[in-house]
Amino acid sequence: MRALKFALALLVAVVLHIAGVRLVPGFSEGVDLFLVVLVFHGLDGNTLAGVLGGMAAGLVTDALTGGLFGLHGVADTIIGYGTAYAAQRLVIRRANGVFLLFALAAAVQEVILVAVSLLLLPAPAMPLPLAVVTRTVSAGLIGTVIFLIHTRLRARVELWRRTRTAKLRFDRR
Amino acid sequence: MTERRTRGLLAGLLVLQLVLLTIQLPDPTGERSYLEGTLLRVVAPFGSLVAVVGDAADRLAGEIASQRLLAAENRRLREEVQALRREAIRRAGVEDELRRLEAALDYSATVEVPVRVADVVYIDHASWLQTLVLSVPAGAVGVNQPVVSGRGLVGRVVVAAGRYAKVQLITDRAASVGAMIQRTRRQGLVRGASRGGLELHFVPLQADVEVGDLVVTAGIDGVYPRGLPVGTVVSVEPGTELFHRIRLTPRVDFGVLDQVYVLDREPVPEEIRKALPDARP
Repeated sequence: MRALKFALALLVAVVLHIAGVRLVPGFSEGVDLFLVVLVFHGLDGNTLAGVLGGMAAGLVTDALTGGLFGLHGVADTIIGYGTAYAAQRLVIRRANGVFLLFALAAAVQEVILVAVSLLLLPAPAMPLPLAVVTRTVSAGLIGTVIFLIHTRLRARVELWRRTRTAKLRFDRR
Repeated sequence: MTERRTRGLLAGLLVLQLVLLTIQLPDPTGERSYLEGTLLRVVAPFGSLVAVVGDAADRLAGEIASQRLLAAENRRLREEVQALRREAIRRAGVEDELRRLEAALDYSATVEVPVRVADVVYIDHASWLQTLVLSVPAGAVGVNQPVVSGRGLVGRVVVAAGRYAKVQLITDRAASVGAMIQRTRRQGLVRGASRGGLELHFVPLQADVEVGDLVVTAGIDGVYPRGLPVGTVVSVEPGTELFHRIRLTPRVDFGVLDQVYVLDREPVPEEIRKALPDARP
């Protein structure tokens, strides 16, 4: 079920990414929705799911970008594992902690991409520092907003379930 | 699965992907991985979907807006038709003159390359990892086929997967095009530069280059036919001890591409392939 949810989230990210690139020039330079989906997936703390999800998200990103195929695959596999590992050991529930996690993941992803590019290519293309900052901040903001919405929705659903159960019990009497 | 096994899997997957990356390195111009083609097949239809919805929305908005402008547009078009008729008559005269001169010189410059129209389903020309995905008839397009627009050279096909093809733009840092300055026929190598620009390399300092010169393909790289506009020189600086540092602006505005043309090229004859095993494609 979780894998299906992740796959659906990835598909939504693909559609939004393509629409974003079409509507806003430079969208992909400033926003990485695949990373947001991946980090959100990793917040569960399941490292195996993080690794596999990271590889899937990275390779989908690679299919939509130029350059070497597998570059994002490597970066996102590490991010997926790292996020899940961090979520196992830290209690991340406050908005600023969530923001930090998403932003840190985006920054680490850029570092890995640049490092692998430098390692493998003679004259690799480099992202602009401003673009790196934008991606980092946008990942933090989008991730935090999605996390807060998700948390509130879950709380409401939980509340509705509880009241519904109480009503059912009351009706039985 | 235990944490230890997960770490083992992580290491295994990373090694696998690094091997995949390394395999692409020796021949970045050759065939790409099967996995990339498969993923492109899965992901690219969403690009088509977004393109269809976007185009429909654009058309609707355009039609609503154009209702008000139709009368003025009609008037302007009538005037334009008159002007074009006059121009066509003038050009017919020039063509006759050209044919007469060609006949006198016993020279024919007609080079006809079959073209295939392809719709752009996804283009990202602004980011540092630029790419273009086309919707093409299945099996109709192959790796290394040149892609052009009405304005000039766009790039070459690097992955052909079913109904989709991924194109390496000429502005990509990994792309290179054998080119020449049209005015002087001086040859060099055009490579992608930062921020969507181009650079013309290996033009000696003593060569005559001016700002505004048009750079076209030289037809020396085995991929692009000769004479396709690539870019215009925007700056010429003394580079290293031997060569100019020439910056170009691409002729094609990648931001407005919605349809491109894939050139069908004759494959290199087998005799030449055998004689030059290291040559590409």
